[in-house]
Amino acid sequence: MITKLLLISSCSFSIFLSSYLNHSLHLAPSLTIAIIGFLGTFYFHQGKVPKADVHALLLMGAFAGTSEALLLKGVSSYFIIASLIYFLFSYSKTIFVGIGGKFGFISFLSCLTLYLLKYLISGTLV
Amino acid sequence: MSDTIPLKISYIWDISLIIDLFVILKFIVIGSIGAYGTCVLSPHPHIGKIRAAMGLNLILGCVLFFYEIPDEKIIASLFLGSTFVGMSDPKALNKKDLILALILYELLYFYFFQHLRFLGGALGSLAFMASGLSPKIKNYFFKKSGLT
Repeated sequence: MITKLLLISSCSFSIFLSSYLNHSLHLAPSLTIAIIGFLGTFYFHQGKVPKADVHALLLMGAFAGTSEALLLKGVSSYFIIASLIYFLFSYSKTIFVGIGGKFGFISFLSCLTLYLLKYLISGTLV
Repeated sequence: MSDTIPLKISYIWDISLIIDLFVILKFIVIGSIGAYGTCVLSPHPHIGKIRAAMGLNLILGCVLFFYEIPDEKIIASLFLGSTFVGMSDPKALNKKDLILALILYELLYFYFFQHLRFLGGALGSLAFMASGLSPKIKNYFFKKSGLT
C-alpha cells in the first residue's frame, strides 16, 4: 500500500513539475517532457518496484502535466490523474506489449477521464 | 497579352506545389530521424527506450530553444511523436514497417492533433494508434494484392 502511494505521489510530483515548467516558465511542451523523462531515467533504486516502472510513471506524469492549465487546477487533480495513470498502467502491463506510444495513450485516457468527470460534476466544459 | 496570364498562373502553381512537396518531405525526414534514431539507440543496454527517445528530444529541444527555425512548434511535436513510434518493439514493428507507421502517424497528426492538444498525451495516443494500426493496414493491402 505504501509503495503504491509512493508511486502515485511520485507521478503527481512529475505532473506538478511538468505543469510548472510548461505553464509558469513557458517552456515548450516537448522540451518539458524531454527534460522530466530524461532526468527520470536516472532513478536507480531497485526495490520491490522495478525501476523501469518508476521511469514509465514519471514519463506519463510529464505527459499529463502538459494539459491545459484549467484542467490541472488544484492538488486534487494531480492526485486523481496520477491514480488513474497508476491504475491503467498496472492493469495494462500484459496487453499492447511492444506498441509505441502506450504511455502517452494511458496519460491521455487519464486526462480525458478527469475532463469528463469535471464536465459531469460542474456541467461546463473546462 | 492574354497568353501571359495562364503562363504566370501555372508558374505560381508549380512553385507552390514544389514548396508543399518540400515541406511534406521535410516533415517526413524529421519524423524518420526521430523514429529510426530511437530504434537504433534503444537496444543499447545503458540507454534503453525511454532514455533514447527523451535524449533525442532533449537535443532537438535545446537546438530549437537557442536557434529560431520556421515551424519549430510543429517540428518539436512531430519529432516527439515519431520517437514514440520508434519506441515500438522490433518484433511488433520491424524497420521496414516503421516507415508506414510514421507516415500514418504524420497523417493522424495533421488531422487530429489540433483538436486533441489541450489534453496531455495526445501525441502518444496518435503514435499508439499509428503503430497499432500499421501492421493491420499492411496485411490488408499487401495480402490483398499478393505482394507479401
